[in-house]
Amino acid sequence: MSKTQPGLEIRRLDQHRWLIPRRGRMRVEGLIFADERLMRDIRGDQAVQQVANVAMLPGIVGRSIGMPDIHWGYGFAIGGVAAFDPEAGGVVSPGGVGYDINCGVRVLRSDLVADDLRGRLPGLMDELFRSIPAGVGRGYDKFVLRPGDVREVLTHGARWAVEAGLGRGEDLERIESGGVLEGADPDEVSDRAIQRGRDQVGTVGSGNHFIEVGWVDEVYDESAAHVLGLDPGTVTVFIHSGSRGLGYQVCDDYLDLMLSTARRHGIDLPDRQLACAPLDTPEAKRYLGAMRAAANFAFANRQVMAHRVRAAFEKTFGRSEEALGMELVYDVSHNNAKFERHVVEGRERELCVHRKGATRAFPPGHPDLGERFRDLGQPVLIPGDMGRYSYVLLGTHGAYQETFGSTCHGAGRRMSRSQAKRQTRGRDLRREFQEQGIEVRASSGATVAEEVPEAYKDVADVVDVVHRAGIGRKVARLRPLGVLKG
Amino acid sequence: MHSESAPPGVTSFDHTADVGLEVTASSLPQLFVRAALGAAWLMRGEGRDPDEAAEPERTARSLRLSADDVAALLRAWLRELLYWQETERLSFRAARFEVLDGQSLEASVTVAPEVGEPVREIKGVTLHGLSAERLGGEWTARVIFDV
Repeated sequence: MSKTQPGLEIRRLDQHRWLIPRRGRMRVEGLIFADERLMRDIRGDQAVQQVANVAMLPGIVGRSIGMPDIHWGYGFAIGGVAAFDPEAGGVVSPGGVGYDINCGVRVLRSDLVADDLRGRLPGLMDELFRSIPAGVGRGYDKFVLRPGDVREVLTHGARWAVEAGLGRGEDLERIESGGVLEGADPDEVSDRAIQRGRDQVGTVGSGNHFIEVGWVDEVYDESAAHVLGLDPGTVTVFIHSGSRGLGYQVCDDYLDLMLSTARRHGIDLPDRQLACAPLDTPEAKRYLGAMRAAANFAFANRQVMAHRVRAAFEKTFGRSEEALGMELVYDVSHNNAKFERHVVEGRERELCVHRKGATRAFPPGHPDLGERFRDLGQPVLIPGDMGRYSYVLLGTHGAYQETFGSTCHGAGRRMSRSQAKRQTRGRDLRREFQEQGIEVRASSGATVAEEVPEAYKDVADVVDVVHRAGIGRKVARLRPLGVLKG
Repeated sequence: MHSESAPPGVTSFDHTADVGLEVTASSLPQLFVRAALGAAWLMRGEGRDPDEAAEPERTARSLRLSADDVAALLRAWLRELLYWQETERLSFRAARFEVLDGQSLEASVTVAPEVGEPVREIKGVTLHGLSAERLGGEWTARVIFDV
């Protein structure tokens, strides 16, 4: 059943593109990437309407875009991309970034192959579970930063962690934006947010966040996979988390300010969660300063977790992480707003690109990519669900031309959490995973039930759409062996 | 004690990514209390009642809030309680309102240390679809939480 407003037209353009023509207050068209099957799921909730709502915001350019993993969010759909031109009254909206600012994914690789984990995987998962806090609001008992140190994290991001000995210098070259967003303003982050973040640097959190030990089971581009260190059989680690309570608080702190600013500027919001401020206002600058600070917290969070992962491998295998070849493949964000240069209507402009559940996917040759990735394009890390597989992709020129250099971010939910729990009632999920050869460690059985594979779209379908549509290029598929959940 | 049932007047509704609550009550104070109990119920994973026998001593604290309208005030109320929950592990138990109108709230709030681990993280109380209104003699509110 369609949950879109009556009269909202969806027109199929080709195998993988669906257009939402301008109607009513929409300033631009909407464009959703999906095949017919995924589109059936997408029509089943309010995501299409949310793409149309975003198209109503001031200063939006190009199209309001939905990725194949799009689903109903709050304000912006999850899986949405929108770019706003400051010279055309464009806005920034905390709802277009989300509560979990700079939530993202990083992947580590090793010189180990899957067979090397035989007999050692349970011990490795126990060590990861012991050394990295996971679960609701979970933080460290002893690794608690002073407020002044939190400010350093907010300013320097992953660099703070590396300088504190929690990582290698070369890690920074393998993180989107070098692991730090310039323009962060810790003074715009509330004491409450800082308080929430003090013990949470290097923690997984809850919900769909995880650490996953896996292996490369299929390679689509041998040369690119080799450069990334992802030859077939390679043992990998996926880390998915964000800015934790600090980021949630920043988003929360600014929503009311954005609502009043939107009202003052006469912006008629189709959904209050789209609260926003014109980019040239002091309110927008304050939010962007705080948002970048929270983004830096997320970079540091994943950096510290990666350090603990390396330490867990060292302890389990009795060799140094260098000897184990534990290198960072890449680290991407999928909840952010960034100023980038893009060509719209034949003119290059600086735009504020919101990616809410979407990943930056810059093409080969893009100046923002470091030397290591200049010829390849930006690595794009796409986690799947707990039981199936995840993907590593590369950014493409197609994405740069059509989606502001963006692609999908994951499998995308197709089932609500309560529906997932209802459907799994009475099942021994941990045993089921074990029978599939997957070791699960979780602080709550309820989280495992809410995150079962059938609650998600098949990420292979999502990735196939972006690959065929040319807004991402498949490099490798990874299968899980062990999953740590909050 | 385990229970599958929600607190009185509280039902959850499906949202693909997040979780929503619909709350009904005969008065505004009851609406705010029930919404708070509903949020605590969500954090416990909707299936477990607090074990009051094992509960450490309750404490009361004062709270004063203001907002543009009832829905915004309800959101501010829930945000405050969730902040206590995350930073101090204090779970809402009861409230006595000295002032509660459409735009301001003054209350003595009874909280207790959470017994057991919460299983669901609530990242925020969203504005998406947020409503609180009186229809006939009954108050109804809808709130979607980012989880």
